[in-house]
Amino acid sequence: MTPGALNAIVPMACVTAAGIAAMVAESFREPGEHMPIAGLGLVGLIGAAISAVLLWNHNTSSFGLVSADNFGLFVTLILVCVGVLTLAISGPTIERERLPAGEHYALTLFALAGMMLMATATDLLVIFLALEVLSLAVYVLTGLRRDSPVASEAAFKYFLLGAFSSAFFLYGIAFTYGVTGSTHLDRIGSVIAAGAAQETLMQRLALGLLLVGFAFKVSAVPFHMWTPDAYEGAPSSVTGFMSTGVKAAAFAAFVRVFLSAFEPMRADWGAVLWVVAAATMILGTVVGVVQPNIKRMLAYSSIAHGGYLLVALLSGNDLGKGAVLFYLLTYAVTNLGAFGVIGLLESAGTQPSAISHQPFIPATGHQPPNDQVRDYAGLWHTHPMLAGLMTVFLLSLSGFPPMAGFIAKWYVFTAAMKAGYSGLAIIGVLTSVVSVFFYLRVVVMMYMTEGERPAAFPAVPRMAGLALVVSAIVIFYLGILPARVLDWAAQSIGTIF
Amino acid sequence: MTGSPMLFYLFAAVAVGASLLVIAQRNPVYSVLLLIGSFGALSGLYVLLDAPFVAVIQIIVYAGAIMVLFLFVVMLLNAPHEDTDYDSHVHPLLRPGPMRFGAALALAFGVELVWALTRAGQSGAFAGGAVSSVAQIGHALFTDYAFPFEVTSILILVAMMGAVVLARRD
Amino acid sequence: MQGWLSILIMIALGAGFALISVLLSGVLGPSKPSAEKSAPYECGMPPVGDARERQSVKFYLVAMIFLLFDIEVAFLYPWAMALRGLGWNGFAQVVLFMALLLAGYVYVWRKGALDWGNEKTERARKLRT
Repeated sequence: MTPGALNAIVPMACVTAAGIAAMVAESFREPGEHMPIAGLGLVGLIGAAISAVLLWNHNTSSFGLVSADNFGLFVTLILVCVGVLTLAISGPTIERERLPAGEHYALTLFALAGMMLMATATDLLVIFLALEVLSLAVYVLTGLRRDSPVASEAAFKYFLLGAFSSAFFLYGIAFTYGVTGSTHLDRIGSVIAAGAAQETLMQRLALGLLLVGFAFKVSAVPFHMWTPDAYEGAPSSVTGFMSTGVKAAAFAAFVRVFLSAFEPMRADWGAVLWVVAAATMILGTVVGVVQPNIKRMLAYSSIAHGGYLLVALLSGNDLGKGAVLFYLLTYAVTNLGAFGVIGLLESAGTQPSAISHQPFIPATGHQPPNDQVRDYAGLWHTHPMLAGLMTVFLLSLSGFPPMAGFIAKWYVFTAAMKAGYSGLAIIGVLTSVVSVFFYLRVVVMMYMTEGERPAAFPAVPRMAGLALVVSAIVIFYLGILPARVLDWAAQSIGTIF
Repeated sequence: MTGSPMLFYLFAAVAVGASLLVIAQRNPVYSVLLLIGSFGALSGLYVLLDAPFVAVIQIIVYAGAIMVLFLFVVMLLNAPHEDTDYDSHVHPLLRPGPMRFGAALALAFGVELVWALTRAGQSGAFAGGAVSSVAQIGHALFTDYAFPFEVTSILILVAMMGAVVLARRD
Repeated sequence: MQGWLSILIMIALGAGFALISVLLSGVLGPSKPSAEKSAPYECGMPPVGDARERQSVKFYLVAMIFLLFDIEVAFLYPWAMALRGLGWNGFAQVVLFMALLLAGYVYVWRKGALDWGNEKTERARKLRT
């Protein structure tokens, strides 16, 4: 083995090592003892970020199975952002829900390692293993609130449907192997391009099965059913984590598999993906409008954003591929910020002095989770800082001009127009306009409605507050001066496709 | 196939018979035990197909560990007998939700198998390389697939942690 | 196929021994049943109710952990068969694999998932509440 052969896996190895360290630390923690396990995770993530930056432009590859090209490294860096923000905002949620802290952090780190592997893997078998690592960890994280029936139901649904979709994905890999004799993306691509595989029916079957597996993970219509329940049932920090991290990893692999190995079969999957993207954007937006629960609302918003990403993927030109990366980064920062605020406000709800205005209190003795849209009424008066941050995040999600979300959407729709998908671009613009309505509903609630809630907020933890402020600054930076990051995104796709 | 046809028919008959009995039982514990028998017969079929590694894994992992897990889940749920709130004369495709879904899946699987079998003569573009002996599998596993092998250990770790977190009592 | 014949003989011997032992003891032994003798237990509490009562979730947890370590062991089998060809490289891989799972073992042990209600978990529970 030559020195440097392992370089490509260093980022995920750092995160995995941090995860194992967190696990061992947790097992030696005495009950009630506090340990800086989140700090351990932070060290691992910083290591991953440094190694990813050092590997930039080197285009290294390990074992022929993992390729640290710029595309994978860009997604790795997005995932590092996701990880750091998640660690920073999960403190209040963990304390409020009395979640097992060590396990929460360790599983988050393992999931991140799996995501990084999924984004850099160039072999279907490794992509599947990575998918399983991240999925298993996220299923468990979803069900971490063991005393909540909602969380158990969410985890159970997510697990059953997820296992089912993994089986589809694995079946697709098996068929692909049967047709092309390889699970390696390069070889699959060359066999399909050469037309050597005569079994076109098998080939289409393989393609369809893989498509189902990916569509489930990115919660595209009609495989989105699990999303609202899972997002509502999971603890807020976990919801933020899974909505951004899983999406980033799944889209990275989606782009890699479909725009390299299966690019010759575009005629077969293009039309299907067109319909899926349109349905995803429309359904996510329309159903999102009527959601009274803010987590469910953001779940449908997340489905709609998946639709925009699918448009970028379908465009398939350089602009579109760059747009996927930029969009993922923007979405990660924005959505995690929004869930960070939700997590903090949920924590506020458990203060003994906070009298619930809801008509009933569940028999478990828990306060209602404080996650309805109307719970945000009058937030501006009680906590102007959080209300301001939430406004930034929501406006960026809807794609308002000075924020990052606008540039990301604009980039996606330009790519779609250039690639000749003007129909999709029009649907995208229309649904964006409609979506403004439901994001603004919350904003209006915060500023213009009198709240019935007494102002009993705990102090915002310093880490979480800092993370939220930094996210907001990044959103403005990406929205006003996007050129540099767009350049990086364009550079990273140049290396592989 | 190197084994005698008689052995094949013996194992196949046991596998099919045990599988039919699995779904015919009203008592889920008996179903689980019969499923072990079915797995054992399948393992014999794998031996006849010159796949000793799969045969051994079938016994160690499936008939051993996974069926123990099934048995404990059945005992945990404590469902001594299946509820039969539907008329057993109704066609399986018309029965309530899960039954209908299962029947539909079985139907799809049947069609698929028939399709595969009728085309068995024509081989695809790829003829599978004959990796059969355990030593060859070991060699491939620890050279070409060394990295996926190590990733598997992380997968097992996550599963372990998940089981402890979700099933702990407090 | 030759190698499997011995396994078949082994299975036949094992099953045959069990079968013959039971049959022989039934045929040869004297049979004089009485109420006391046919009771499930000759002494102690009389068994009441269904034998299949609801099992604790701990059984499930132990079965799950057993399954995971079983998979670990299943991976060692092909390594053992290909040991000579793989050399130290293969050995290093297996050591890494085992070391990673050892961390899991430590976790499972320390978390008390393997304890069966002894004082350590009781103490942990008391501290937690």
